[in-house]
Amino acid sequence: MEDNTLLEVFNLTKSFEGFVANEDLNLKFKKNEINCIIGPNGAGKTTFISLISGHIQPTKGTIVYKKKKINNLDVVTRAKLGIARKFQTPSVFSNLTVLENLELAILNSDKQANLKEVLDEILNLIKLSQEKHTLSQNLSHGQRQWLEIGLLLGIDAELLLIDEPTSGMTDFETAATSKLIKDLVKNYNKTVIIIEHDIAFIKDLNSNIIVLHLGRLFATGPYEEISKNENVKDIYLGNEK
Amino acid sequence: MFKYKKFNFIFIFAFLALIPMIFKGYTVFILPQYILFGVLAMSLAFIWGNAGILSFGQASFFAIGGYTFGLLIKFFPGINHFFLGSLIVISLGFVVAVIISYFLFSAGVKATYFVLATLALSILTEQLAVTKSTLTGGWNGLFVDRVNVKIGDFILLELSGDFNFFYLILFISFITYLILNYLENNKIGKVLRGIRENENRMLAMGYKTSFYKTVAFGVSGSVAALAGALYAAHANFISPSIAGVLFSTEVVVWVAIGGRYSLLGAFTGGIIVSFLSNYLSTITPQYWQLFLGIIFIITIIFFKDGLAGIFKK
Repeated sequence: MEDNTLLEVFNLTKSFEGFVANEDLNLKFKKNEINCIIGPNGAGKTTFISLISGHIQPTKGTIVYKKKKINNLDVVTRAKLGIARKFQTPSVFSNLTVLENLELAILNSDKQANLKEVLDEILNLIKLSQEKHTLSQNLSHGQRQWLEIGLLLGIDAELLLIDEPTSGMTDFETAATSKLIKDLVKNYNKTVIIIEHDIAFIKDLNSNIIVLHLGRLFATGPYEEISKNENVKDIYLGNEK
Repeated sequence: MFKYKKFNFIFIFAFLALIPMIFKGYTVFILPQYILFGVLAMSLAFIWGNAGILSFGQASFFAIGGYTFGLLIKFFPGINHFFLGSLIVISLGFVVAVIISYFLFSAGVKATYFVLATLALSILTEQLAVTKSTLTGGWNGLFVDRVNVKIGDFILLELSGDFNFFYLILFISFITYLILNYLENNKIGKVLRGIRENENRMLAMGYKTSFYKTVAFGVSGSVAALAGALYAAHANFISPSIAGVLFSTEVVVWVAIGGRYSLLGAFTGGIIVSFLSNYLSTITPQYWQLFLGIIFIITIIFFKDGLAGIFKK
């Protein structure tokens, strides 16, 4: 049977001068799946994403991507391998138009020969066709979040690390983002790891959920299972009185 | 529709080309030097405007070009100075800039510290020009003979007169502008603007930003060195002060006033402000730098994109 694991971490640990942000994490991420990482503030969610993207180096443990150990690779090399990250605060090119933003991303991919077609496709996906000549600093917060996801599509990344995509979004934008992410996995063969706090959004994605607490793996499973887990309710989801 | 903004450069270069037909004498002699200062300003605008990298070392490359060209004429009389000499100067400017920037950018040196490093480069070059006096003439400077543009023994262009030299410098400046403009509008220019806007995002998209910054600084160094070589050949002289911090600062002022986001703005800024400096220094030798400083401050406060920014609006 074919092994469809895209990313795997073994005993992944990161400590900052004694403070352990991630401890002995052992996780496996399959291709074409959505994984949501949840947990209270300080659980180590963003640290985990940063370890995968290469923005920080692990204290201990191994990261294996497409069956290759990538511990020693820098951010640039990991991005070229197909690991792309959307930051918590939208990180786009504020003084460039939407089109120029996407063009910059595509220029660094194998898709640059079909620049116009790829641009149109991404613009349609992220629902910014009407705003393509708008400076990205003039977009709404939600639109900037979509544009940043568009940048990850532009470089043709396979593994998308998305940190709080619905932060600051309206209900309508949140629903559209959920549809976009499901579309990326179903029709564009992307694998997505999301950090998110919006439980309704997570439920709608119907994804695998990883619960982190104090840097450790606390629970993992589908939403239905996690939502009934009393321990998870205690530390994060909350109990109805 | 005729997009006049795209053809601004033709108006500017055509205007400059008309000047020797109207004016004679000192104007035709001195203007090529201002034009070369304009080219030097473009070399800075290319990295400062596009990549956001401010360099206080442009004078250093200008001097490296000037001294190298002068020494080639002095010690290697048999070579084709115009073609081979220029090629050596361009290559040297590129190599020196690449070596310096490679170590700085690879080590992750950011804007402020890069400015300091380039400032140190200017001081170092000036000191070398002073201390290696057997080669450079020290504070007395190095006299540089004018050479003709020739292939073998066949003279293509006689450069002893100012008229021919004027048009040669204008032509080279025009070609330099076209090359820099081409780079600016292609991948490297777009990547540099991405780096200027958000370097972390560029890294996360897989761009090795230090490589692009190093190449851009190399191009900038080679253009500044070529301008320096032509300056030395035209003025028949180069001295250590041309490598110094004061001159480097002047280049920054030209570009800030002309507009760092526009090659043409920087080019015209270099010409106009250097002309103005020269003019003011003759009528008020004590205060000309004060006037220049006031213009600089007004520009920074009210027109942060320089003169080019005003025209763009």
